[in-house]
Amino acid sequence: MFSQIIKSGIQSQKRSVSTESLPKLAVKNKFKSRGSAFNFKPQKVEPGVYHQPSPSIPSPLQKTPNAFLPASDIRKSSSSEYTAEDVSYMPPLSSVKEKKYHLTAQQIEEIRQLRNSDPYTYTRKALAKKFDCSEFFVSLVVDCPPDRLKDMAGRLDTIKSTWSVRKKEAKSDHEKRKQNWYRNA
Amino acid sequence: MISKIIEKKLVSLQLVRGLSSSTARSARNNAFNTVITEEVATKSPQLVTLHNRLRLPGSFKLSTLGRCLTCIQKDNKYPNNVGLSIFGKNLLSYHATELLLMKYPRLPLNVLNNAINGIIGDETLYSIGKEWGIQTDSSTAVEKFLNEEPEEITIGRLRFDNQNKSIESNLTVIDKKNTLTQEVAMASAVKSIVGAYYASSKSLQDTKKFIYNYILTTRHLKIQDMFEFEQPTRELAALCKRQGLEQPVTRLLSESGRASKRPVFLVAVFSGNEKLGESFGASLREAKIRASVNALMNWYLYSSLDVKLPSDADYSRETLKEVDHGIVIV
Amino acid sequence: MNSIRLLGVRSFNGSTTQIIPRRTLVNTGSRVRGMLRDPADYLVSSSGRRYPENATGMAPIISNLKNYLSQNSVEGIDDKVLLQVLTHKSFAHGKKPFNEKLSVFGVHLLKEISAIHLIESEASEGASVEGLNVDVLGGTLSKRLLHKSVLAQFTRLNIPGIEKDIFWRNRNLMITDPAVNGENVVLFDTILATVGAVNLIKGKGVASDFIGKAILSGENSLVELAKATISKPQENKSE
Repeated sequence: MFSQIIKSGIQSQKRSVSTESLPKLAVKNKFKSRGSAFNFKPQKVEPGVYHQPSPSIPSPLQKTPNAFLPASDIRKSSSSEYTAEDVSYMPPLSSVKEKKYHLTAQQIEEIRQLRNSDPYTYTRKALAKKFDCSEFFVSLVVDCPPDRLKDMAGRLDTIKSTWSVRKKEAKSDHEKRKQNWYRNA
Repeated sequence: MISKIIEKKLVSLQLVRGLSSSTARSARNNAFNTVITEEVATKSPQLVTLHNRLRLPGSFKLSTLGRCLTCIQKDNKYPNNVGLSIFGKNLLSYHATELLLMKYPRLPLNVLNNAINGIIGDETLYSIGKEWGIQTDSSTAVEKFLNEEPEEITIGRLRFDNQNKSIESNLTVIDKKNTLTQEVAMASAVKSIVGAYYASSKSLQDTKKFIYNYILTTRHLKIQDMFEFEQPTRELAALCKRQGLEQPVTRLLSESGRASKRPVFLVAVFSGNEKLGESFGASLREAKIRASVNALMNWYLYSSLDVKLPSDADYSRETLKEVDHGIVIV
Repeated sequence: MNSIRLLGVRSFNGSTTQIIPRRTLVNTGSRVRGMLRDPADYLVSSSGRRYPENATGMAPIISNLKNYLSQNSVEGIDDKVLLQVLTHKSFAHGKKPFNEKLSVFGVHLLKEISAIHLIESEASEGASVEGLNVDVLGGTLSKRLLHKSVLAQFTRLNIPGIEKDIFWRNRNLMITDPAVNGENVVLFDTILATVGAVNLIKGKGVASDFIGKAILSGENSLVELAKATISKPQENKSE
């Protein structure tokens, strides 16, 4: 049945009217009736089953990545779909960092003290640089002191108050769209 | 118009009071109610039609079907369907859980519960009941009395105290003293029919067949739309660590219009050389989050090729060494 | 207290995957926010038992549950699965396979089988349907049957000593009341997960027989325990 469909599809692409019979244009142009793509003559397709995966991203219901298949599943293959060379052509969005786990309990206590003593000097960024860790790690170790949190929220409100109606709408629309990122919607 | 309504109400109240005093029964207790007899039920056109339409077995009595349509009411003349509907719900929820858990063994619990609700929740069962052609009884006791409605017509309809009564077009009275809405009442009837199916056939296999044919396979559930993640990138990293996979890395596959107003980035999450998920976005951050969400859904929506159910005959999976670990806790 | 451990960290390096040993600091004793905890610290149950890493360590922990199952003629469930049945979600921040979904699977089966048992055996005032007293359902007995404290009590009586085998995290060791400190919930989940695991591995036929034989009949059956709580209801107010 599939080959029939393919055949009929191919036939419909064939021209039934010869370009020779078309009236000649008065103005000269570069169109060549013989070499034109209109004279497309496809090669014969051998009968059989052809797999044409959809060009879209596969749905989680259709395909489970090889790494996520349990060992008992017959679809599990020992080799990856991609080679290291394939992957090397795909640049990582951010540099790949290994987690260090190099800070001692004393150093962590120091981070906490510095952040609580002067949160304006010892911001997450400053502490991350000083202790050679990520900003995220600083946030794991110590919460932002409530005074600074309040101050920053106040500053943000001041900035927001200067926004025009259109900007406010655009921002709120963006927030709504952003929720869809986490829902695959 | 309002005076007309009040007048109508007053008349109905008086009449109902007059009628119901003789048949006043406790709503919960089924002990003193008169049972629908098979003789009356056979005369009911709605019951006979519904019985035939659902191809219920001969052992499923028409009087039982009539009981399935009797919801809990203030003035119940007949035994109600409360116990039957609880029993039916137990049967339904087991099969829905079994089907979902066997099909998607890694489903998170909150998604599983929502999916069960999607398959056998009141709204779904309401639409199934409507498709089965169960009629609801919207006439008042007064109207029944004035029309001299025969008993067999009354018992063929779904009877309940409606919380929302539309008395005229565009006018609805919400009466919180009445406990049931139309959806809940219809759902309880459908559940009761399932319960009564077991009661009359005494066979779990036949009941299972009935549940699958009439309820579980009649609706398409979009389970992939039920997911929402709070911190997808962290969750994916935790998953990879737990499963002994390499740390996930997001890589750019292609992009278009980076400097334009509508850029599109296509990215994929890799663990080593294995692709875990893929997605797109208008910013690199969006694409990265969407790709992580896609990867997590790829994990949670894994389905094995041969889905077997424990309720199938000669089921045994003694070779099974690993049961799903459970959700990833960040 | 800090200690240095050598953990193998996988790293992607060109075309090959290498295991590079690296210095990783872990923390033992009191918790330090942000620091990696020593697994030896948190892989211990509330009763002081260490989570087993291999088959020989597993045997003494699961033996109690295994005996109970074989007494009720259920055999052939893998040790790993039984260990998962005994592991609650609260243990080790979900790092080890836990029994959450097995328990959900079990509760739905127990609801179905116990409902059939009740309507077949219990008498009610209501009108029966084909000899089944369906009006028993929705009453006090059927609600009590699946009450957390009743099922926990059942588990304690029928599998003595199981509370020591279960891996879970007791948030506050000062509270000793099992209804408040979470022990009842953990026992409830464990017995239901046992039912769920029997159903998953052996099929519904075996699982129904197991419920009928082990849970719904006998001296300390669930039905008897539920009936006992109805006669003195003030006992279970705490939950």
